[in-house]
Amino acid sequence: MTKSKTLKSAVKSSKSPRDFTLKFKINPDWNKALVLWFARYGLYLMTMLLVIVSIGAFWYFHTTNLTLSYNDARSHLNIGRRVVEGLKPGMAQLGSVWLPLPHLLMVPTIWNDYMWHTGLSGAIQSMASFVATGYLIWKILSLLKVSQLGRWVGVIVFATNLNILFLQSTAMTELLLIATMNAGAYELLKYNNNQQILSLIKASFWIMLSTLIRYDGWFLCFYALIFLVGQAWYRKGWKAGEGIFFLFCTLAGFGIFLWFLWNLLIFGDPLYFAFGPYSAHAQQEQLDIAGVLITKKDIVQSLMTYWYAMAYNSNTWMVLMAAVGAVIIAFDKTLKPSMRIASSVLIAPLIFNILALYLGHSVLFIQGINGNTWFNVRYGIMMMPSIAVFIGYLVDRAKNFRPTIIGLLLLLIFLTFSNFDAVTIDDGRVGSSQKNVSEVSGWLERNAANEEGFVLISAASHDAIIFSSNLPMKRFIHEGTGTYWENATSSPDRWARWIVMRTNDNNDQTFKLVNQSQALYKYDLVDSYPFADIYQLKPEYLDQLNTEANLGPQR
Amino acid sequence: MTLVQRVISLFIGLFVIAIFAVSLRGNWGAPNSIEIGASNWTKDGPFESSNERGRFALTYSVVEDNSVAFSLPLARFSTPDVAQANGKFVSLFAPGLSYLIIPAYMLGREHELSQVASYAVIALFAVFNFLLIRALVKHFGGSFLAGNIAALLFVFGSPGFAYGVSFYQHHVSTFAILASLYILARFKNVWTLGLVWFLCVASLTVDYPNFFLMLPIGLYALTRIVFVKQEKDDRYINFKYLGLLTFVTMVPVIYFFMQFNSASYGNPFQLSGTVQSAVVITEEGKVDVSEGAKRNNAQGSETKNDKTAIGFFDTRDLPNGLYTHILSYDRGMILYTPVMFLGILGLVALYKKNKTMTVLISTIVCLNLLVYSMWGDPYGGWSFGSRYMVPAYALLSVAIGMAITEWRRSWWFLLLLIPLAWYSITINTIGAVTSNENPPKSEVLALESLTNQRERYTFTRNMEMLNQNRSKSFAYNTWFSNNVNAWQFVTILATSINGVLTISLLALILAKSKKV
Repeated sequence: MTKSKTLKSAVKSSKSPRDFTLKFKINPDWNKALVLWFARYGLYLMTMLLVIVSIGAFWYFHTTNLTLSYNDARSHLNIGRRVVEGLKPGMAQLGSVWLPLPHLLMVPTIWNDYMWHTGLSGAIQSMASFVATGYLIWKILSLLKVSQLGRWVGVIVFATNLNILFLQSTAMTELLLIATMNAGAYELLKYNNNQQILSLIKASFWIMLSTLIRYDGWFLCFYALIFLVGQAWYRKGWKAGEGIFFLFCTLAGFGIFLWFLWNLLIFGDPLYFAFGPYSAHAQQEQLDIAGVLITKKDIVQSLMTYWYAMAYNSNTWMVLMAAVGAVIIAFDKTLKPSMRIASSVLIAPLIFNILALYLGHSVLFIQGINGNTWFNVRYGIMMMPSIAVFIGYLVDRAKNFRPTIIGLLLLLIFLTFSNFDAVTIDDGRVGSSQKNVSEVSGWLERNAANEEGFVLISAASHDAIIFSSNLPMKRFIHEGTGTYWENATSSPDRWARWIVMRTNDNNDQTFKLVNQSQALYKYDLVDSYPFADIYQLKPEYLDQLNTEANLGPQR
Repeated sequence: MTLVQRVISLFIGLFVIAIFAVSLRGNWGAPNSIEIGASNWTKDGPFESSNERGRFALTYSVVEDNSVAFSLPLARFSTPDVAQANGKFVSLFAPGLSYLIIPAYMLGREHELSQVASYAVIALFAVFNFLLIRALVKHFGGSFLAGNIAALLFVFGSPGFAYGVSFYQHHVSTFAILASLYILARFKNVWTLGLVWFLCVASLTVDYPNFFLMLPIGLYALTRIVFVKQEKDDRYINFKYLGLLTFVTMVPVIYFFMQFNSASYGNPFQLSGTVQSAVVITEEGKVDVSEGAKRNNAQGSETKNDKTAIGFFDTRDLPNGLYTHILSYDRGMILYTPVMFLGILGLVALYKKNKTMTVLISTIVCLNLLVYSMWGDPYGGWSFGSRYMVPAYALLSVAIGMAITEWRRSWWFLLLLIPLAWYSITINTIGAVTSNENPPKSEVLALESLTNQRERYTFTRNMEMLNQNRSKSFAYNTWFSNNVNAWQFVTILATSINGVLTISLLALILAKSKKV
């Protein structure tokens, strides 16, 4: 058939004089071709669109100076930088408490000042994780036998979440964790379907990676272990369960083993990350004493706090829709019972976060609910991919209600963008996750950049100042610089031209040690700023000051 | 319909009219613009909220002053829901309701009952809604008596009762929705769409958020003009082009709307809520800008300082909004009209009979809940129950009618229905004959510091009014207050309504046919 005849047959209108109706025939071949095209290339098209959205979002947040608003983002970047540059560069700078993988991934790029100071070195992994998570949502939905439409809806729900778009533009660890956890969940679901060892190994691998990003990954490892062992035992007996236990633990638990080993080798205590002076436990203890850890041992508060965190991050209505979708999965007889049970891995982040709040291992402030400010409200975003999956499933199964569900979703997405409702941005702009250190860092940038000499500062307390000063890392003497730190805190006038610290705060290690040295009288107080004071060595002591890094390589 | 059904239908209809007649709020008289500001008309009278004052002021201004611009006394009467535009004081409300009551106002004025007659228009729409719910239940295959019960539950067992005896827009908005649904359900031809378009646009002149509530109806109506149809092995897109002519019914309403906006704000496309409000007007007749900027209105208002239409809806308010409308003591469905939860069961029953209408009704209910949960003030200012959810209550009542038909002999359903219905009717009767002025809990503390006494919220505030033997019912204050006290009045009303409902339910249970 010629092209013109094909076109003519595709649009064949007829007028029916009796009912005044025009009729246009839908060419079935075109229809079929379109469906086939999407079936074949839909995933690639979706991935490409995600890449464009990711880059666009980063560009937007970068030009509006939001990518570095989180104090933690600057700290993560600094940790990565300290591995490659500073007075004592090396792997030991990975430190403890925060798990190392995000910082390790920065190492190939963070040596570049632009990549460091724009935050791109950290954002790149978040952006890649964003695209990967969208891909995984698609794949998980196809495992759950969801049609193209449902998959597109699921991915769009995820990709249009403003909090996700913001976090994927930063050097925060949420997106990387989400991607690895969902990769693990996807492979687990696949293993449940095909019982192939390769899927199990892949699941173990991704979960292992997640255990090296955040402690949420440890819970997922434990949850997956329980599920796998239980399933193998139920199906094939105790021997099979035992085998799965060792196979899974060997790989998935390897990251955890390495972390204990690391803490033992570097800090002399395998539990240094859990109970050391900079651990979350130490932080939570202080908060508990101050009486603000109200979720501890209070299940109602814990549930309510996390509910609000989820609702504000993922939109309340979408959370409710997802709950309906999750219930449908649980009772959907078209899915194998084992698949329905395996899908529960998608709610592991929910269980972990509530548990962490209840046990007092996590702190989360919701403004107006349990505090006057925002803090760590981004923890609520961890359920976003699962919510997207559940909504995609709901759209697929509730055929007659598709126009309603999709219409409501479009309205919510439109209003979210028009109101610019992103609670993670609020936390970064005005909440407790931000730190406006511009006055201190600005002073350092103006006065120390073109002068010789080191700045003595606690990285644990003032990493944001280090980052924002735009000075190279090797200008700073901090806890991780070994002998430099020991010397500078005992004889500051010999090593530190400037001291940045919170005066009279013994939580600031710099003040605690410098105060003991009784050398502060040799310094002038330049000024007191929010978060820290700056001291400058008096001119008469400058001739005794070391301005070169002359202690050589250290162990 | 059999003769018995017609008689029952007539009796119940007259009963509903009678209840509304004795519950209607008002005072005798046709006050002028100065008298209307007195406390017996405002705080202690029918114009207790700025919502009522602002809309009535426009009616008064159009009829008495032949102008949409308010005189100074009227402007003061309407604060804070009045704006200053181009040197004039103008209404901040959509004009539809104000214009709708003009004939009744003029008729009532002749008999010294201008306010009562105006309010009666709203009660009339409440009666229309009763009839429409009944008709919809019957059309969907529900039983005749179930339709009556469901309609009674809406008009008397929900805050729809309190807003059917005062001057709010909710029954008119609900009418537009129910009437459109009935037309679409009952008539399949294209020409009736003209009425639907008319109702869609007219509802916007009553309340702007009706845009969202009517949107699913409009989109569904469009599918009567453009639709896909399978014929043998082929699929066709059908376009009934003559259906485009039906849009012409929208033109007069749009013209009226644009004329009003032009006359009021100088811009035919300016929406009234997006104009700066004048919270306080000084003695000299000037707007106090500092007060207007602070916008600290204790009684609340539907209008806001947000100057864009979209700015009225904030997704951040969703958790609080949903909680407020469903579970809170302030306005929650659980406290004011728990019988409406049975509507969710009813949707399951309706789905078996008519999938399309179930989807449409569910969509409108969800949109109603969603839109007003994102509203900056989900409480509706000082109000009785969740007034914004009145349209949703009407639709849920239709579903309840189907549930009653389906499970009329199931003990578990009756165990839920009867106590919930009695409770809902009693609570809402208390609200209807007293006042809508309930502060939200968040304002009670501030109120207590002003008044130096314990201030109640929820319907306990209404009960307190009854304890003081106070009612705002025109009939009670005019004819009955010498014979019965306020509590007795409420008891008689509530018992009558519950009695009619229970007898109808009993008749339904005992009837052999499901169609009864």
